[in-house]
Amino acid sequence: MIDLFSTPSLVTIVLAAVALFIPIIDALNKEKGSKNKIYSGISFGALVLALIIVIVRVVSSKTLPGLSLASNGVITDDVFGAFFSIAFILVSIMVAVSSWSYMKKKSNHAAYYSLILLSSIGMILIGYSTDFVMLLVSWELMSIPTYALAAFSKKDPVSNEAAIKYFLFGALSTAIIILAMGIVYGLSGTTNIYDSVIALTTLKSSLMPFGLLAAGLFIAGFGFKMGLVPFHMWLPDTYSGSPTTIATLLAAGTKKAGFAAAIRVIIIGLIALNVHWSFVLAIIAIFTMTVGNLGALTQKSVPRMLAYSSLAQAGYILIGLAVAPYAAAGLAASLFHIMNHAVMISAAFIAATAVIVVISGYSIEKFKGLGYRMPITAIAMTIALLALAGIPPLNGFWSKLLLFGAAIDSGHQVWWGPYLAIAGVLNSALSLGYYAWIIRKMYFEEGENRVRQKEPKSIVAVLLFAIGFMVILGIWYGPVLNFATMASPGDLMQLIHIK
Amino acid sequence: MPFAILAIASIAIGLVGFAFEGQIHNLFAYYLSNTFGIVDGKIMSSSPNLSKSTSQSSIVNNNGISEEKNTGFLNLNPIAALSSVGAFGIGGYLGYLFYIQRKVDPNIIQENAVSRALWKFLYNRWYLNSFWYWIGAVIQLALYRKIYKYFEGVIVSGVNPAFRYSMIFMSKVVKVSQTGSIQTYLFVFSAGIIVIAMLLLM
Repeated sequence: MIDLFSTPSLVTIVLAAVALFIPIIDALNKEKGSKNKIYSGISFGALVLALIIVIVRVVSSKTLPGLSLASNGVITDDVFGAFFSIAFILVSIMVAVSSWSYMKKKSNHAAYYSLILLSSIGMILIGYSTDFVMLLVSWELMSIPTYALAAFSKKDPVSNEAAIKYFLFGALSTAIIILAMGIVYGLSGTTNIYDSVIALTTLKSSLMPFGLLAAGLFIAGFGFKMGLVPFHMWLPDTYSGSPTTIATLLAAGTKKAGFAAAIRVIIIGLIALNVHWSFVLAIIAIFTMTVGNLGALTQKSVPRMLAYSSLAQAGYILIGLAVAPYAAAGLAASLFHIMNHAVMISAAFIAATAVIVVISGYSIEKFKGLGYRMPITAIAMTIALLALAGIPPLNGFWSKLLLFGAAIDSGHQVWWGPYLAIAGVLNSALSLGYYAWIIRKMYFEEGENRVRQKEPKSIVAVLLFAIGFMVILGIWYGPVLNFATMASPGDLMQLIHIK
Repeated sequence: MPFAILAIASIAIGLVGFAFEGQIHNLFAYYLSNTFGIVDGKIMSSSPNLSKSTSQSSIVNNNGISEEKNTGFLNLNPIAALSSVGAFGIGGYLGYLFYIQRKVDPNIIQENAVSRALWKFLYNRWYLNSFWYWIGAVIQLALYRKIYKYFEGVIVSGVNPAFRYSMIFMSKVVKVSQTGSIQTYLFVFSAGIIVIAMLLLM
């Protein structure tokens, strides 16, 4: 049974009510004129309320500690889910507020904001799911609105192409996930994640290949959304072709939902199967980081460069998951980087959105002299890029330090741990090649003119919030790191009672 | 006059130095042993306090047994002492012949090739300074210059662009692999599943 007063239920009720309410009032309203500002405001209000609910529930200790697997229903109410919910809601707020400026001259505002809210509900529920069926429903609730949102610029063929590719690969990944769930159900006789994991621990050796096949299919299915190499091919095309606000939602939101699902299913499931899976994740992490950074290095379009950058960041996050069984800080470091990356990449994409709205272009050449023309956008972009590169004292530095530290720490048990850290450091250095390039264009190269442009107010507000987040967390990272540690399951083996 | 002062001081230190020969050695060994743990087979464990004992020092042998060694106040090394006095006597006699009695003209040394070579050899202090200057300065500097030139010219100027171009090349490979064609993407996706399944089954 679902507890109606649990965090996921309350958040779903609030967001779903507003998501369904917006199109209804839009249909009933006969008055002409844009309602963009109103819908953006309503969405913002609903998301802030959802954020307050999650925070109050965590602060008042109404949520279960860490990652709770055992649940009678299909969802649980734990700190792990709350951690991801806060990240998703923050991203959705940033997207909804910045869309106020982005959507000004566009149509179908009601559908746009409604779809963002519905996708947010899906992301949030993934973080709380303890049942495969619930996980699949949440996965689709998150994905389907984003297919439509990616194609929101109907007359733009690039946007349509982006959406088609995203939809095709999304459908394929869903099919793969269903196949994996089917195999696990066949092996365990249950759709409850915890019960399945327990059943897998006592799996007959003759059935082990099926368990491993299911694990591989889960990695591929969730890896599509996480943007892991080699399931990443759709990602640069979709992120660069979609409206940049939606690219923000995909890069900072749905990608993280993939990680939430992966931690709930893949990591726990693979431990249950007792196979040497960490090395596989380590290899994927190295390839993901390297391909992402190399791909970004010679891009001319800033959203496409950020898409590759987001790919590389997924590789860094995966380092923590790969070393999780050997280093206590591994999962906490990944969660910390997930929260940081959600804000950092959102800030970078939204700064690019400001340039698109004001200067009408996303080529890197349009960023020349941006420091004079759009100073707040330029400084936000600079801080976001430096934080993504892991430059101290910004938040990205601390989470990368923890990730690489955990990898080195795992060296006591696995030989490849320190090499994973070295690969991460080298990739971080490589990433400066393109991050610094954009900064150079903005501040050290002359643009078409030095005329100060009017920066969109809602985007400036979002960027100022992001600057504050990245700088303050760089100096005072303790609370968020503690929250990430609280949300991480700690001893994975103990979690599934394997001694 | 300055040379006379130098000569008298040298003779005085040479004579007094015998008395402290063992002490200085002990002090140095004690310092090495305590500071760096350098024992080199034997640990000199005598006190560095000179007032305590100037005649005895204990030596711990390789078996760990302490041996007392009576060195005496004037622990004269007869060979060293005779060599010093001999050198002093020969030098003093030659100096007396050349500069006081003036029986022999010092230019005679320049006339004979062998004596001239010997004089030059001694005048240049066995060429020890020159030798060490070549070993320690000239050869090393030449080597460093070569290495620096090679490092700058070949490694820095060569590897840096090579690294840059290889990164750009690999970046372009990634870019080219991003064909935009769904068939290619599907192929990579499927290949990825097979590779991961194989890695897990290994």
